[in-house]
Amino acid sequence: MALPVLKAQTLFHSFADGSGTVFFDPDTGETLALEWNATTLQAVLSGLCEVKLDPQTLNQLRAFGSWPDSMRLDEQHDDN
Amino acid sequence: MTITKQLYLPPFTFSVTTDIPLVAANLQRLYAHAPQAESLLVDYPLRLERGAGLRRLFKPQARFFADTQEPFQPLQLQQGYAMLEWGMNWCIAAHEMQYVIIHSAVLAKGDKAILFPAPPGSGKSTLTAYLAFNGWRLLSDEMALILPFSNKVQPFVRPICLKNRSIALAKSWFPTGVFSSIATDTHKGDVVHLSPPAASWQGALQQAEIVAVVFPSYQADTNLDIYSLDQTQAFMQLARNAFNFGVIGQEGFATLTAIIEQVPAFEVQYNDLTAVAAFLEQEVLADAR
Repeated sequence: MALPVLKAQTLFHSFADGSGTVFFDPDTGETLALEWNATTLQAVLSGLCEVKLDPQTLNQLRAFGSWPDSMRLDEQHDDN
Repeated sequence: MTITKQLYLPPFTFSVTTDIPLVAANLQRLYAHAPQAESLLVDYPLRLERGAGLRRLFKPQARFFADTQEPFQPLQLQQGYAMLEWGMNWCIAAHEMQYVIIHSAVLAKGDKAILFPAPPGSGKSTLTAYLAFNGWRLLSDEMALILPFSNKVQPFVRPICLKNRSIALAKSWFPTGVFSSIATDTHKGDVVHLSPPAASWQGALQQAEIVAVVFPSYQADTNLDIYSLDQTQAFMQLARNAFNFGVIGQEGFATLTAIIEQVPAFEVQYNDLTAVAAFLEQEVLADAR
């Protein structure tokens, strides 16, 4: 459920050196960096169930962007 | 007496009207080598005026106006010239959304430019002055104007803002330099502006290609330490120094990520400016050729 929000609300880019992925919320101007290389990003965005988000990453993503109160980011694991 | 001076500071044209003799004198001296205006069209009509009323007799103030706006509280009269320079910065940062604007110095050799983004207190302007008077071309001391979806940077040549201890250093290094009067007790401490060398003014129309990003950090106890940044670290540091990144949205994000993909980024901790200059020339620029 959260993935469409992530895709719709943010711009993202995985750097070629594999150091991470940066997200940008055009509405708020906020930026977030996560240690996801391109492969991990692709796996997360495609909703692969074996990709597990650790609590710290979840908290970072929850604090980023305008997430509806009713939406739990970690629902992606339940849904997939 | 009120004077009006037109300043063609590519890519913008300002007109400054002032009744403050100190401001007028500094303008005449520091912008003596600025390019001649090509048109009478003015982007930013500015006024620096003495405050009115009883206060002008016992505690005179300067007021800054950009067209009809007065974006700042008045400052002490002796701070008027510094206020004008800061006001010009504000005009660009607040209104020019056709560029991705980074709080950064920009210096170049030929058409190869290095960005030096840094927060206040990092020694950025001292390093900028040193390089500008030692063979580098100053494109900007304060803001990098990056053309969207490119790695090109537009010069915006202006005087270099020196603060506190760096004032005496610069005056000893460049005894023939053209310095403004000192503005004391500002929110940044004591402030002086230094006119760039003539060669930098002459290159004011010449865009350059960004070949590296260097985050300078003055450390009194460190001769020279260089850290190569990974691309995520470099992007985040660059984004933290962006003025209008959050406003222009996708253009800014795409531009900065593309630049970081293309050029190396370093954090440089230093107390030795000659060592920094040698690193920039022998390592950074050499690799960019």
